Amino acid sequence: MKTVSSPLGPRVRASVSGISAVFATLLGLILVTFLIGRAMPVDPVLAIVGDRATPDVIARVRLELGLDKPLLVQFWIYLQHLAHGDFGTSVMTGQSVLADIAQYFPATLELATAAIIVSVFVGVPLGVLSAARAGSRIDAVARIVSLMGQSIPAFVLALVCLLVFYVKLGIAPGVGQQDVAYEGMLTPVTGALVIDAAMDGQWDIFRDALAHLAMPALMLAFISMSLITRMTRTFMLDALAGEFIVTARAKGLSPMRILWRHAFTNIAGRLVVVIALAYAALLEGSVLTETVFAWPGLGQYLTRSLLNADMNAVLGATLVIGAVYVGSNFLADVTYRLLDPRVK
Amino acid sequence: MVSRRSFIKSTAVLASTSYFYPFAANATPRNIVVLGKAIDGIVNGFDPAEAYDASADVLPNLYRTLMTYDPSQATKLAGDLAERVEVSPNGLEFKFTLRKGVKFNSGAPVTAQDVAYSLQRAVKLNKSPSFMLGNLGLSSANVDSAVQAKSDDVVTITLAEPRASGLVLSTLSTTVTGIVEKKEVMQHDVNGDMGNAWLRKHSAGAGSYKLTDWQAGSQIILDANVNASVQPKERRLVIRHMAEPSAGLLQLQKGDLDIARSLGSDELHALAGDKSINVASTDALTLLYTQMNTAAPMFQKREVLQAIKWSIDYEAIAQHVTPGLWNQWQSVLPKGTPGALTEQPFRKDVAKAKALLAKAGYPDGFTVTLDHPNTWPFPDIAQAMQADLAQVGIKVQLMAGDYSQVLAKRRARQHQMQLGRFIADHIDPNSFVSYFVPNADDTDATKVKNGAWINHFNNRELTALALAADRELDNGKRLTMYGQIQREFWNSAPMAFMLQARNVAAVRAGVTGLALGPVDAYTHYAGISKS
Repeated sequence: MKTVSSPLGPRVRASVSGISAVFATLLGLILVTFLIGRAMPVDPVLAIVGDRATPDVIARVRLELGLDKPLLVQFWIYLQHLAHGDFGTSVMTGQSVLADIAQYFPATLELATAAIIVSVFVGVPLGVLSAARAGSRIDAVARIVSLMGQSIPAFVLALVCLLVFYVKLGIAPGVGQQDVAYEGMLTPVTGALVIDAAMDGQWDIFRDALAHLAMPALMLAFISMSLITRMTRTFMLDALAGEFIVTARAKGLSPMRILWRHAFTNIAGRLVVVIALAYAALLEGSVLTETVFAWPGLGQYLTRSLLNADMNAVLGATLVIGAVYVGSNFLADVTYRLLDPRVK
Repeated sequence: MVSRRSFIKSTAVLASTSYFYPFAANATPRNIVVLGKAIDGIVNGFDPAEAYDASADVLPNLYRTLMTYDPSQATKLAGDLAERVEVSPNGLEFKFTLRKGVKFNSGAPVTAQDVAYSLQRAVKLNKSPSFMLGNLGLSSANVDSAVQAKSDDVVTITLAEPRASGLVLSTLSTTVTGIVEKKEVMQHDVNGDMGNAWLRKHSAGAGSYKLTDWQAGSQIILDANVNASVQPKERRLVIRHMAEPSAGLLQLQKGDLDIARSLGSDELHALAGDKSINVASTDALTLLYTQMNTAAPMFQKREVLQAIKWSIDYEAIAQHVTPGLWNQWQSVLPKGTPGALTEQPFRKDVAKAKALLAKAGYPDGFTVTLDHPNTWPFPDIAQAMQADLAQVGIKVQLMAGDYSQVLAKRRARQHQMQLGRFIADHIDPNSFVSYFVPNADDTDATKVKNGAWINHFNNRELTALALAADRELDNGKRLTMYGQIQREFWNSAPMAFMLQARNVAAVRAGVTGLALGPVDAYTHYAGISKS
């Protein structure tokens, strides 16, 4: 008897199933956010028009927002618009949510990218070193630092950083993305101020933007670095205990070669997953940091929209954050499969 | 009394500012004024026909109006774009002759056609603040014939029914009547929106500034309108969002802000003795009050309403909870409004309140809920009231909520007691009375869902008196009517007015010329200069 196998290879099947899972997750996310938004004891119409608008103004705005229709119909209409790339209009800014996201997301991306670069370049070597010299003082310091980063809430750390570096020492600029003197002097291209300033050759603005970026980025880097250091250390300890390391040592290879070429290469796949998730967490989880540092990013946009019951904006921002998270997860999964031949 | 939270907060602010202040060495750039205040409540931008409340201090700096507040004569108005105002004896026709030489940002002169178009547009767009023009009897159906440009510099408003001139002129000083440039706005009309979408993020006015940039909840940039007749002393004004008053205070002391508004009592207290910061303030036409929904059986008894008014320690709240920012005030018309009574008839009198409760059939008091917004000063005031009312046997359950939640609950008339704040749109008594008094139809189908309706306050005589006052052409008689209304309010209204706000700004030494008005529609930033 002959077994009929699928015409698709296992990797393709896994990818298709992964993509389906991504869409199902996003759909679930939209539905839950939509229902929570509608179940909140806040009337979005009153939040827009205020207490003194006449009943006909209230009725008209309710109609414009489509709130007169049954909940399921509202959700279906929202999905239809979404399928056409229409996230709706933000009642707070009066422009399309997509345009808002295009305006606010680059600032978050800039902050998260700066933070992840620092945390990878510091966290990974620190984790490797900590594992290579397990039990040493360096290991103790690395463990204490990573424990602190994991335990201190981001907003507390942000406030302490501001108090110490801005208020007390005066070596860091205050909150915001740039000094008021440079406001409006640069036409946004990428939306990331540091890159736009460099592309335009405006080095004064570049220095100023970099100075403003430094503190929130380093603070976020400290938090994600603690995770990366801790995970790198754990993975490396596991790898260094492997028989292939004993073999490498027996072959007389140098300790550095064993550490980086053999042990580190072995953990690379798992580390990529950790870094990808840490990056996604930075993109979606810097809400409080953005609020404290008055950073004009997506986190701040989302918070403000929630407080103003601006549901289109809340749904749009949540969807972007969800997509980033699910997408990163998916990409990390694929990369892991590619990097680690043991995973099929 | 000082709450534990406010004590800790003020101590922390004091400690940090006194310790760290010597390190402050920054300063904002020359020619740029940086002002910090909470701007995350601004919804839909800066079209004068649509913007309301949170954006009210920006609009008078972008747009001029026919009339404006005259700071040199409190409670009076002066012509802004209008050089001469003539009112017909029957109170029906208002003729405005415009000043010559006033220009829009584009350089085009302000004409009567622009004025007529702006008023017609505000009525036809029918956005939130248009109810003020509706108070004058203007509607989409009649506004084209009621508001007409008679020549390039004369515009007339003809009302269907007489209105007191004070009410009409005061309404014409509000932000919704800001004059836009017809030609510029028409160029940005999309699907008949009369340029509404465009004007949310741009300006087309004759004010001292033009709108350069608005990042919602983050910052607003205004630049000098080079064609304005009143030129700003500094070319740029940046308004930055100040999420937390204590952080704003630090920024001010570090020199990253020139002016900080939205400060609390703790921050003002922390500033005492700081010679590098001056505090500017003026009485605001903003009242804080407790409202009682008469759908609850106990509030249908006048004695219970009186008992609550005699239970609250107004003076203690003003002195210990909101010092410097809210003063004791018990009338429905605040200080600064024509005809406002200055008496403060109520004080805390536990014995009297208990006797009133016993007379009403509640000798042991009752249990009641008190909703309040979760932002300062409401929680602290609610706690103080809870303690006061407990002394007369009324057990208060505090229900804190986001402002939108509290608002939704009272619009649904589901509250029992609720703390509220009312901000006037202009200085005429109508701005308050029209919200708190008339209730001709207490059903859910009514077209007017004001403060009286929200609390089922349905006093026919007062409703008639309030509507008559709007139409009274003799100003003396009109003010007498408002006196009657205020006294009857103390007697029977299910509202206890407690406090009146002060508009306050902390300003760095060397920064002068900030003109705070009693309402934000009269706040002007053009005179600010930095030494």
